[in-house]
Amino acid sequence: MPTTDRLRDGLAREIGAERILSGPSVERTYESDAYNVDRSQPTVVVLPESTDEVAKVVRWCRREGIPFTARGAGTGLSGGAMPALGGVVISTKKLNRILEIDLPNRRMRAQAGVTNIALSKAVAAHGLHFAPDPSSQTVATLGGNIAENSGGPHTLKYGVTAPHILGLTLIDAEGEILELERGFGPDWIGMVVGSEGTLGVVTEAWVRLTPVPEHVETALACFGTVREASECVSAIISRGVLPAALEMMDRNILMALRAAFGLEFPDATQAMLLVECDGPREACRQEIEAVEQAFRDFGAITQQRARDAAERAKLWTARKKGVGAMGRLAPSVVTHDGVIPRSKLPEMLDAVYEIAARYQIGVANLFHAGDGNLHPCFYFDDRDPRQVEAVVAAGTEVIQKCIELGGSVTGEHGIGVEKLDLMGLMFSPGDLAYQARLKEIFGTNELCNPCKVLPNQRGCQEHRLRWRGVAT
Amino acid sequence: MARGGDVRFWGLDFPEPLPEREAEISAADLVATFSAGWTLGEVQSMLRSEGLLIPHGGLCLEHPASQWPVRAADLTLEQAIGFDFPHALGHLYGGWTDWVLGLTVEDANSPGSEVKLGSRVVKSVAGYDGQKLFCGALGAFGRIVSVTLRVYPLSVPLHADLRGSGGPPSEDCVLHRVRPADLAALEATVGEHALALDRLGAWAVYPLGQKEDPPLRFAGDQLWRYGQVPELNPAARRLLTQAKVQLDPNDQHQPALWRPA
Repeated sequence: MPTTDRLRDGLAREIGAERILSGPSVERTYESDAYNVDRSQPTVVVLPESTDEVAKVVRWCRREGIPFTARGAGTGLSGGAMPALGGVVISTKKLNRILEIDLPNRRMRAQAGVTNIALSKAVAAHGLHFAPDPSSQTVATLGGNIAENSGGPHTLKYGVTAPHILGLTLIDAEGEILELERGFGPDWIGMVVGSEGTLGVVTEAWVRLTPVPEHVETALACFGTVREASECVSAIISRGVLPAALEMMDRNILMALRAAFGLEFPDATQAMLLVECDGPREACRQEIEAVEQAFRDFGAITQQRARDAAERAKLWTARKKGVGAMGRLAPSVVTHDGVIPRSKLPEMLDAVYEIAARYQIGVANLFHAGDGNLHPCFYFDDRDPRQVEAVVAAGTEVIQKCIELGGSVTGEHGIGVEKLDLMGLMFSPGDLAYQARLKEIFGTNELCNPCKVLPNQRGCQEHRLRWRGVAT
Repeated sequence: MARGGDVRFWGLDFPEPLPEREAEISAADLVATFSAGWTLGEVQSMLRSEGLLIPHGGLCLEHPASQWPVRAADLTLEQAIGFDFPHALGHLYGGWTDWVLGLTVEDANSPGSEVKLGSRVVKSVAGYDGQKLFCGALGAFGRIVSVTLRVYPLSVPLHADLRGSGGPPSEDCVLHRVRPADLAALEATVGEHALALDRLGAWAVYPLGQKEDPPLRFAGDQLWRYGQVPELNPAARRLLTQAKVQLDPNDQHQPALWRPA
């Protein structure tokens, strides 16, 4: 790897010295994203302001053989923005402008560094919003959402990020500027969204603006068993209801919330469901009534419906503050991400509790039940090597069970570096070889965010496996 | 048009449907897997019996007045995904690229071997979404063996608003992506000849006037002559060329497609 001075000098000639950062504090800041198990320091960080400047940086890196990794807010949960082989981090911090709002056609063009929430705020007065709503939306960027194909609680009805991207500007691994748009021919945008920044650097995108729903109904129910709650999830969908959100929290999460925020719920509660329906007022009312009937049919102990926005916010408290409350349970918490067909939820949750009990570690569940997207949270004391070992083994078993039930190794956190070694559970060697060819379509790109998504890349270290999941 | 393998559109031959006819439907998961040789009409019929559907408005699907050359219900899933025609409900429910969760495809580079792309669940971000490249590819990357789809409950509101005549009488017409702001103006201009397929203004098909060029007045996203394979923009053409090298290096599938003259 060339020296820091050589990188600084070379890049300064491309975009100016004032937008290049280096030094120990920079190296520490950019050595990982929110998945901080694996770390690798960049040599320099660049802060381009335009598509052309990003293209210049990529071309320079390619000429010099320097790895480069794009980074938004660094909220990724699988190490996607970690510069695995060092080199240059291309920060989108200064690509932060909304470029065009086209209200009649319900679309907006923005640079990659604009935050998710800023997109919605920019058009809120017009009754529109950008539908993907990851929990990090106040800081997560459009570029990061595109890289990870971010989801969120309302994914069930509105989908993940991909269907909300109408066009994008990609600097491919060769440094060429590609303008991709929805239209006839192969869905190139669908291929780029969710590719974790390994096919190039997205600098701008046209996003779809979705009308804010005319009406919203939110209901919450407590159940005496996890099985009743999880069976109720499938029943709601089977009855033809497609809620905007369908979230589940188990007793351990609720106990943490009670300790941290005084959340009230019946003592016999083992699981809680939070369901939100939206749309035209009458259709919305019919849907929430069908949901409440399902609550009753599956033996809900209590249920309540929000009467106004303030009550709705209160009902969402348990879901939104759950992860933060987990700190009450143990010194360390690791959050996993796996997917199963939602009809397998009862069987899967039984397995999660059995695995945790067998390894003698605590587990709490709060997750997107409607999507079958699990987030088991193991809590433990990371000062005890035996507990760490148990958490690693238990986490792997959970993901293996997801695959056994026909699911996926990740629903929204991505592969990054965290789950490279688990891709083989889901895909055969032939499948993975085909995916490597798919990657080559976008250029010979061993330098573009290396060591992510596909296992066994040249020059990449194996995952350190201290533990798997997101440590908080 | 004859069903299944007899499709010849835009001068492209689609091969005979593969013989497998398997189906697996899970209403509780809103997911279904089908052999790619089923027609869309057959699939919709199977789904309907389970209280489900694919919200594909078709290019005349269930429109009794239609005399169009293509009935979406007659296309096999492989063809429907390959053509990825715009349809009446696209603005509300998306299209094949949104519904196809996973594919099993024949590896054109390795005859006899199959490759799995995507997943069989409604949400997955594992690996590259190669299944999306097969949507709209006109079969250029190889055969599709089976398809896993996100499906919807029959209760979803179907807002398709079919208007105008029964459809263009010949291939001398234009298929045009119309933005919401332009739809009313388009209808006013071309009147009964327009078939506005979506109340929010998704697609319109109308005869190509001899002395006027409506596309110049309506700045839609996309336009093509109904009787011709649409052109790709330079970026998409470049990627397509590279994709052929990677996925179909011997150029066995749709070899003449999108080639420079």
